Amino acid sequence: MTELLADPRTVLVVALTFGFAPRVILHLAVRLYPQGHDRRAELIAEAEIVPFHKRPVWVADVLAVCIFEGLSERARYRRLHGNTAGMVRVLTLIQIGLPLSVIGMWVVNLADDQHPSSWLELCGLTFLSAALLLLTRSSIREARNLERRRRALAEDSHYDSGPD
Amino acid sequence: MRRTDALIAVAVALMEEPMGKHWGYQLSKQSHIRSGVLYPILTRLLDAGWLTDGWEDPSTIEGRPPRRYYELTDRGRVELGTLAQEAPIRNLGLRLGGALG
Repeated sequence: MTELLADPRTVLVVALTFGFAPRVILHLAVRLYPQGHDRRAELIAEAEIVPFHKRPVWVADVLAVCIFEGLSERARYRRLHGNTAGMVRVLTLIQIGLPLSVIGMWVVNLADDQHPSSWLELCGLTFLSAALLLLTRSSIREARNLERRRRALAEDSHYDSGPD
Repeated sequence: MRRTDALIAVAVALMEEPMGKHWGYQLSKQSHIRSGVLYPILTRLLDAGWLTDGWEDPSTIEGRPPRRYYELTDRGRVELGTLAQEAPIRNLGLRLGGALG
């Protein structure tokens, strides 16, 4: 037994299994929570209290929490704090650009007096563009509603109240 | 809130000291509930307004980061108190159910 304890490889394996590895895994796992989430600091602080020999099992347990709770919190955070302004800008550009392109194609077709099949294609394209315009319009409305809801939920208790 | 055996065990642990501060790992040991089950329960209790949380004052500790603590709210004391009182009855029911097959 004393020979085993004196073996540097055994000491290294013990240090890795009970000291270094759980710490590294925990620090990586808590990153699944969104930045500023209280659970990040909480789990790292709790790990200091867990006895040395129980840490690997505790970290494995906490890893499951981080995966399931952390990812759902991250999705929730994105819903609450994601960038809708950028999306609205892109959709507005589509709303302006699409009708202009379709009108341009009609003008070119009229000027060149194209083959009837080409008119048929243009009608189909116009119909598709109209459908897309309706879709972007409803998406913009949805994004603006989301932004309003976000502002209402701005006081979210789970975030940014961690230790100083 | 769904009344699971784990929730009842946490309620019993919290009601052992209804006015005190509770810590995650300590609650896990007291209630014999794994951390993987405990933390989601604590989140649910916080969302329901049965618990409030806070952080240790960093000036009072040395050599480790401040820990998060949980305290029961007035509503939490009522709700979890009721739940904790049900625990012996529920356990008896489970034991009887097991004995009767």
